Amino acid sequence: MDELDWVSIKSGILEMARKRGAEVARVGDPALLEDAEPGLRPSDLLTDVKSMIVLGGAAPRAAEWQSPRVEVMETVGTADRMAALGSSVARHIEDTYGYYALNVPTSTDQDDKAFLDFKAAAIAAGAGSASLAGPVLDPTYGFLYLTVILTTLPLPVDGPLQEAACPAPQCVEMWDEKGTTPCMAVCPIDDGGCLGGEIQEGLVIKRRYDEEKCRDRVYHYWTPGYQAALERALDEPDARKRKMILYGSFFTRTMWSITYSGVSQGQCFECIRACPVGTEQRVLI
Amino acid sequence: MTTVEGEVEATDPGDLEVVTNAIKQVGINAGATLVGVAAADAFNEYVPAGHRPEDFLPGAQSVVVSASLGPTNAAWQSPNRRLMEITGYDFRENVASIVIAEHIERTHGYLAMHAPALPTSGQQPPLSMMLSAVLAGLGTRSIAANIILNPTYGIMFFAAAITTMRLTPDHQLEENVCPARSCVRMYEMEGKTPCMAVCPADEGGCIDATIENGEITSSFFDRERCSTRAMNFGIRGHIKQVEILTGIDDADERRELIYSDDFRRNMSSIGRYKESVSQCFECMRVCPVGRYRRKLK
Amino acid sequence: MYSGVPRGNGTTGAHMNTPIERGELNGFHVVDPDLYDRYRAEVLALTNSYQVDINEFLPNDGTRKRGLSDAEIAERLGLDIRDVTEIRVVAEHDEYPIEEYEASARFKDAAAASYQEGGVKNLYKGDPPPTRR
Repeated sequence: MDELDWVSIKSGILEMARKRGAEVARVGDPALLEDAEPGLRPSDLLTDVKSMIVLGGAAPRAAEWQSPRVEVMETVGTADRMAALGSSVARHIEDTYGYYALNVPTSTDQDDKAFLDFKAAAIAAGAGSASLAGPVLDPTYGFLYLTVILTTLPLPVDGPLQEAACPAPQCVEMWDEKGTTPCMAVCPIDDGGCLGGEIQEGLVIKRRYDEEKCRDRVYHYWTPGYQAALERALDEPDARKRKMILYGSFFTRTMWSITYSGVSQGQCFECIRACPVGTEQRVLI
Repeated sequence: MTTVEGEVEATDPGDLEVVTNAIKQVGINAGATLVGVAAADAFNEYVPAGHRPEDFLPGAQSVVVSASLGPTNAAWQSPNRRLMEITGYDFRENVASIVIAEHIERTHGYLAMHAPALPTSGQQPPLSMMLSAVLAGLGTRSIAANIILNPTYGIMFFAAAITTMRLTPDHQLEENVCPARSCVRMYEMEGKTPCMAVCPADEGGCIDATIENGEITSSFFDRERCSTRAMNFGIRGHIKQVEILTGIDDADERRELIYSDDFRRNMSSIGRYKESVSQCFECMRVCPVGRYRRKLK
Repeated sequence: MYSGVPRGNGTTGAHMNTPIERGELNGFHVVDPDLYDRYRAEVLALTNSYQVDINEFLPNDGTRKRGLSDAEIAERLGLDIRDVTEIRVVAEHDEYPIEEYEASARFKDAAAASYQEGGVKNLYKGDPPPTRR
């Protein structure tokens, strides 16, 4: 069999993804994630996996970032678009080239663990770099929703980025002057928030992250909120007070969010709202 | 697929109407049946502060409203009412609104957002899509559950994009679509229109109105009773069942409720969001507006 | 200015700039059941639960009405806005018992069956007009 032009094939696949809405499209080496917990490695999801295609896109609109009303960002999330694109790319690979391809589910499974560490995949592919705030940040676009396609197609890999997007120059400047960064200032772990850390010689060190608190903010009205309100109701011996809890706005809101999960992916964006990475894309009239 | 009337080629960025038409066509290409534009400040007369476009996007100038049809014509004819109730709403207009917002930001450089319409405080949405549709000239409010009726299509579903871009606004329709002539005739004979007759507020239903000289002079709509019908299975039923469960001490009784078909159907509606709304079409089934379009082979 | 993204400048409703003033009441607040019982009917009557004369074609001379926001109700009744929100939302659920959902299903069965059988004619108590063919 003639050797296929993997470079052209890769180029065609990534270009297709970009035309269909991916802002970022990169290929990573799945071997870089093989030291993950067993069951959560690329080879646990697709035997003989050769490539990880990582796509980033569907970020909230600039107007949504700027809205003074938090319920805007809480209810217009569009993460499902990337999952749909990922499925489409996977099917295209299988139909066109005859190699296995699958779109990794974005949801979590047992013990609330993701099927694959999307952040690690994105970093390995250079579809962004790690941030103090948590989300992977693309140097140009900042925060993007991600999807990962695993395939047995042996595509040439892009590597991790040479330069991290975080900390941004403005953040280094703020750290030098005030001992904090925009994300830490808006959500300080030592003052009821989720984030802490230091910047030394332009690198983030000693990152501190309250995962539980962040989860309760990101999933404010989703399953964790439902569970918390339900627990409170079950612990309440007074039937009238139970009614006030279960019929009340918080529990009702968790139900709407669970029902409309596709637009309730993230219910706290405050660290990224303050982040300067990618803001050039949001300077509109 | 419908098309926008008028010129849509945005060859002259200074021609606001052409640019507006081009943006509307983007929405139609993305799946909307109709697209209209409301001036942002037109909302101020009808809703309190906190529920106006400028509350969500300071400097908002326009609200671009996308409309799509609900059930297919065959679903309307189905002898199984649950079929239409479960599959009736595909949220295509929401896709169109997102595409429009992104188009405005990327092509024209103005801020644009998908308008927040999901209820965030009980039954209350942040911004009313029904009012958006009225102000964008896509329909008028009817006696039937205050549903907005388009003169051609009847009931439609709406979503919107709010933007700081000034666009040529459409205006409210000059004539109320409701009541239709046949409804006025029925009202004169029976004291009720078809929608009032099928769901009369004075007989355990949701709707009431008075008509004088062919126009609505007063109206009444019981939204909470309508919710028990339009959201028959889903969020509200589940909340009630949870409340009941927390008050049951007997394990067998609890088990019976948990494993009941109603409990399962409530969860199904929650799990598949498209099943969760629009579960009653009875007032629309008897509404003449748009009905004759639904008769196919 | 360190943050690259300006927050909304809140130019509108300048008198209502805080989340509580704007009525964006996120979080877990439980209203006292006695307060709820006391104000339930009054609050609900001011909301969009029962929509009276809201049609845009009605004249704006007092004929056309609208539901009030939680902030407006709180101001009118002298209540904490968070309590108003909770009273409203609880009352929305509380207006009809779970039995109404069963009754609603039976209503729809009957209405759909009636239409399948005889169309709009079946809605007439007297003789319906002749149909056009």
